[in-house]
Amino acid sequence: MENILSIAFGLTVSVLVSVLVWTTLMAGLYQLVREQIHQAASFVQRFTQERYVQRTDAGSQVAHHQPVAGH
Amino acid sequence: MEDVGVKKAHLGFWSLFALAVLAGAFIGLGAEFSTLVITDSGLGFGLSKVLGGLVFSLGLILVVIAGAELFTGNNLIVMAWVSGKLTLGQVVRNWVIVYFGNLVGSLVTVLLVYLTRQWSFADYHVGATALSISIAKVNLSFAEGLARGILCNALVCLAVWLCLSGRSVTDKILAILFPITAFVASGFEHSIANMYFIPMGLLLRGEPEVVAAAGKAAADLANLNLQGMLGNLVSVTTGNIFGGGFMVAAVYWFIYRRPHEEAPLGGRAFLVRRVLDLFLSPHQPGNPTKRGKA
Repeated sequence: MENILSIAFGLTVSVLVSVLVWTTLMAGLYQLVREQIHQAASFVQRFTQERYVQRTDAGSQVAHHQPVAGH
Repeated sequence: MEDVGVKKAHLGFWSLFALAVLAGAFIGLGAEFSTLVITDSGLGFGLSKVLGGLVFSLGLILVVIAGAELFTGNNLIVMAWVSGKLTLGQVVRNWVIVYFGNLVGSLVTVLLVYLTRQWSFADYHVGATALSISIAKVNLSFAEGLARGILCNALVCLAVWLCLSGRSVTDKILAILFPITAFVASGFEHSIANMYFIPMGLLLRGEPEVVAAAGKAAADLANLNLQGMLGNLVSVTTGNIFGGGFMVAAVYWFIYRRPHEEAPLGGRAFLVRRVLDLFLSPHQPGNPTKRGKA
């Protein structure tokens, strides 16, 4: 009886502790990956916006400096 | 502790990794020193263990005083997470980088110690002690490894916790000595120390003089392999995280740092909100009570 109790207690503690720790770790890894993807996405978005602004600026400067045909 | 945790979590990858490699090497040096001292100490069982634990403290003293990132000590960062100053992602990033940095530092120390042939001292009895230690570790059951890991890191994190109250180097060393001696003498399991002990055993099992001095047969060495090492590290690391992160950091946070009754989210509701935050709003760290106000 005591043997069964000690085995049951050991098993319960082992399972509960492992589940708690590994669930936390997995949740953290999931969150870490989400944060990295979010960072990468915002970087790409910022980069694209900067490129667009640069192009627009360059285009408007070219248009400003070029003599317009017919005038 | 929360502010220290925030600083640690915001370290850049290479700084963190380099500091972690150092910590692995420091703990390896403490483990090597301990192995040497307990070999043929001429003392009884208890005193020999206490002496081994006392000199093993070198590892954590180097980590705390010289400065390095140790996985087991960093389990205390949980406190900054439950306070809402870090995301769980940042905590796990720190743990993963530090764990593998510690592994690299330990393995480099193992190789260097092996090359010194220090294990041949005292007619190969130093190597025999190292081999016996590693065999005992790989033969632990999951429950034993887990329970020993929990108790070990509770003591290690208490040592780090006590260090925070120290003002001088002497204070910090004294704060480290007793908890670390207690965990080593009691035979508790430290995942980073095992990254030194077990690989050292793996190398020494190929030395016939060492195996003979240890009086081990081939059957005793059956579990001393990479699979045995992995099994030990999984159970002990799980125990270490629970012992340091939950039994020390979370418990002290609950006692001293949890939100007061007048806060919008207090006690259990706050904890539930922290868990929900993992899945709902993971992008910015911050106290959900403050976030709620905003």
